[in-house]
Amino acid sequence: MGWLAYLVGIVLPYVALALFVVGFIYKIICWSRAPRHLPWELFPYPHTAGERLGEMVIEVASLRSLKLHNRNIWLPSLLMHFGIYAVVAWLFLVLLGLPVALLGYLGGVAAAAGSLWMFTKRLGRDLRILTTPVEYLNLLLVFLISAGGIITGFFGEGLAVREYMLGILSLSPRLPARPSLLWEIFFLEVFLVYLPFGRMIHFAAKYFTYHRVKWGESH
Amino acid sequence: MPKMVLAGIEIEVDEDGFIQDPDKWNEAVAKALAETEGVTELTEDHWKVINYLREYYLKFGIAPMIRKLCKDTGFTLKQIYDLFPSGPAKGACKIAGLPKPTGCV
Amino acid sequence: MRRVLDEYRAISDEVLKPHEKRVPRFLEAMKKSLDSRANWTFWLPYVLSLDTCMKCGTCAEVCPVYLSSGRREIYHPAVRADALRKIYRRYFTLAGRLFPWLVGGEELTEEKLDALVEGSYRCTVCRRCAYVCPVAIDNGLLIREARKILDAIDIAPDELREKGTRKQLEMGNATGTPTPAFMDIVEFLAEEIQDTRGYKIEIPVDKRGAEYLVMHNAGDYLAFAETVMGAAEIFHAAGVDWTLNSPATGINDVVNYGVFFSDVEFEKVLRAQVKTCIDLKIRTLVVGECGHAFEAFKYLMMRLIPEEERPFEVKSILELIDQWIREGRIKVDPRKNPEPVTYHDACKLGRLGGLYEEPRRILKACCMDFREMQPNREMSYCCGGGSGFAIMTKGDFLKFRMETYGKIKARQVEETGAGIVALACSNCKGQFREIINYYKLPVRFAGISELVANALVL
Repeated sequence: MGWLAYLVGIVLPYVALALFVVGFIYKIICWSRAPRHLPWELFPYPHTAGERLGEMVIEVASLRSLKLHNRNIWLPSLLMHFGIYAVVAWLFLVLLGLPVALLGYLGGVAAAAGSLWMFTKRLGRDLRILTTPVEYLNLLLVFLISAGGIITGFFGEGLAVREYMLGILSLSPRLPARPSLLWEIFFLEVFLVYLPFGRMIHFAAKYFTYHRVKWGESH
Repeated sequence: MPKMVLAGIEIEVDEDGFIQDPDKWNEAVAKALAETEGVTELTEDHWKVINYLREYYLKFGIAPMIRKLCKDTGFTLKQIYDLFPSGPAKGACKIAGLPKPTGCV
Repeated sequence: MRRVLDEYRAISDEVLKPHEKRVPRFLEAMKKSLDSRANWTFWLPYVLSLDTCMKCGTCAEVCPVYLSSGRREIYHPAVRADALRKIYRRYFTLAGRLFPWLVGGEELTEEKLDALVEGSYRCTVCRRCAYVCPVAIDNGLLIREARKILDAIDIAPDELREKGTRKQLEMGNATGTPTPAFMDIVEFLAEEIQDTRGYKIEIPVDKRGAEYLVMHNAGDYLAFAETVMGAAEIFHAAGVDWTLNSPATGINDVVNYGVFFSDVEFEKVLRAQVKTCIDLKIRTLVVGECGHAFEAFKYLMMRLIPEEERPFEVKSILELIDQWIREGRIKVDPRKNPEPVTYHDACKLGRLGGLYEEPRRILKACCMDFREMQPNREMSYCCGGGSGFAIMTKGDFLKFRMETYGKIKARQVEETGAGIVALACSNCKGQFREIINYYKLPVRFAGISELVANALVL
C-alpha cells in the first residue's frame, strides 16, 4: 500500500491544490470580467464600504436571512457553518503553530451534527421538492470530513498536521507521521477539487451577488 | 383566428371572444355576445351604454375614457359594473362590437 | 383551454403552437442567452442565479403566490426557476451532460416547454424572494430570462407584445389612441377640472422646449383619468413650464412592456421614447404614475443609452411633488382628505426603485390619517398586477391573480381599516380595481396625484 499512501500524501495534494487554485481563479475571473449589466439593484442597500462590510459580516456570522425568513433551517445551517468556520480557523492556527485541538474537535462536531441535521431537514417536504442528489452529497461530504477528522484524531494531531502541511508548502513533501491521517487528507483533497466546481463555491459567489447585483453599482 | 357563430352568422373573434370586424356587428350579434358575457337580457340601459361606445368608437377609433362614458351616459362606474359584470372594458366593449382595449386599462 | 401546468392559462395555444417542434429552437435561443456578449444586459446575475442556488427554500417563505396557494409545489419560486435550471444543467454544463440525474439535469420535451411557458407567467418578478435570498440570487430574474428566451422563439403574451410593444411603436401608445382622440380626451379633462374644481386651467400639449414633459401611462387617460387630472392641477399650481404630448410627436405612452419579457422590445420602445423627448427638446421627462416605466428610465436605461444621447433629466412625478411640497411651491391642506389612507408600495417603485419616503411624505402632507400597511416598503407584497399581469385576463387568469396575490393584498388592506388605498402605479390600479370588486372591499383606490390635487390650496 506504499504507493497509495504516496499518491494520497505526496501527489494528490499538489493536484488538488492546483485544481482548486485554477478553478477558483477561473471562476473569479469569469465573474469579474462579466460585462457591466443593466442596473437592477434592490432597495434599500448599504452604500459605503463600511456599511457593506458590516452587512456581509452580519450575514456570514448570523445567517440573518435564514433567521428572519426561514427559521426552520436556521439553527442546523448555523451549526454547520460555524463548524466549518471553526475547522478552517483551526487549520490556520495549526499553520501558525498554535494547534488548538479543542477548536478543531468542536468545529468537527458542530459541522458533523449540523450537516446531519440539515440532511434530515432536506428530507422534509418543503426542501425535498427542491433537492437533487448533489445537495445530499454536498452534505455528506461535509459530514465525512468533519466526522473523519474526529474519528481519525486529525484535529488532535495539530503538530503532525503542521509538519505535513509545511512539507507540502515548502515543496519537500513527506508523509505524515501517522498513516491514519491520510484518510482525512484524502477527504480534504476531494473537497478542495470539488469546491470551485460545485455549489459550495457560494462563499465566493456571494461577494458578486451582493456587491454587483443586489446592491448595484449605480450609486 | 378562431370563429364563432353569433346570431346565425360565422364571425371571426379574437382569443377573448371580441369580434374582429366591427362592421359585422348588429343588434342580434350584440345579444349573442351578451350571452357569452353572462348578460341574459339587454335593457334600455344596456343599449344606452352600447350605443354610446359604438358611436364614440366609430368617430375616434378607440373606446372612450371610462370617466367620459360615465359622464355622458349618466351612469356611475358601479352601475356600469351592475349592467356588465365583467366591466366596461371587457364586458361592455365586447358586446358593443369593439376590439379588446389594449394597454394598461 | 388545454391544461398544461395548472387550471389557468396565461398564453393561448395560438401563441404557444404546441404542435410545432419548438425544443431545438428554444435550446438555440437559450445557448445565445448564455453568451456574455449576446446577453450582456443581464448576464452576470443570470449565470450566478443559475449556478449558485443552494436550494434552501427561503424564497418560498416570502413568495406571495406560493404562500397564498397553500404551498403548491408548482408555485415554489425555486421550483419555478428550476424549470430553466434543469435545462441549463442538462444541456449547458459538463456535469449535467455526464451525470444529469446527479445534478438535476433534465431533458426538455415539448410538454415541459408548455409548462415552462405557463410557469414563467405565474410570477410577477416582484423580486421579494431576491431581496431575502441568503446568497442574493434572483429567481425572479430567471423567470424574466425564461420569458426572454421564449420571446426569441415568438412565444409571448399578445397583450404584451402584439398589442403591447408592437402597437405602441406603431401608434405611439399601447392603447392605440390616435391623435384626434387624444386631443378630445385632453379637452374633456380640462372641462372636468373646471366642473369639479370650479376653475379653468390650460393643459398644454406638444409644447416644444418645455421644462417638463409629463408622460403618463396612456392607459391612465382611459381608465384612471383622475390621476391625469390631478397631475395637471398640480403642475398648474406649481406654475411651471410643462406639457403633455400627443401621439403625433412620436411616443406619448411612458409604458415599456419590454421590461416584462424582452430586452429587444425594451430597447426599441425606450429608444423611440428617448427620440420623442429629444425631438420635443424638453429638459425633464416626468414619469407619470407607472412603476415599471420608472424602473426603465431611472435604472435600466443607464447603460443601454449613453448619457450624451439622452440630453434630459428623468424624474418620477412622486419625486417632483414631494420636492414641491417641501419647497412650498405647492401648498396642501390635509384636512381636505380626512378619510384614512393607506399606501401600497409598488414593487417597481419601492424594492426596484428606492422610492419609499417620497410617497409617504406626500401622503402625510396631504391626508389627515395615513396608515401603514403591514408589511411594507422592501417587504411589501406584490399586488399581483406586476410584469403585465394587470392586463392579462385570458381564460381564468384573473381568478389566478385574485386567488393568489389578490387574497393577501385584500387582507392587508382590510387590516389597515383605511377607506382609500393610495397607489402610484397603473398596473397596481388595474389590479386593485379588480381586488376591490372581487373581495367586495369597502374601500376605493386613488392615485397619489389625485389625492394631492384634492388637497391643493391655491
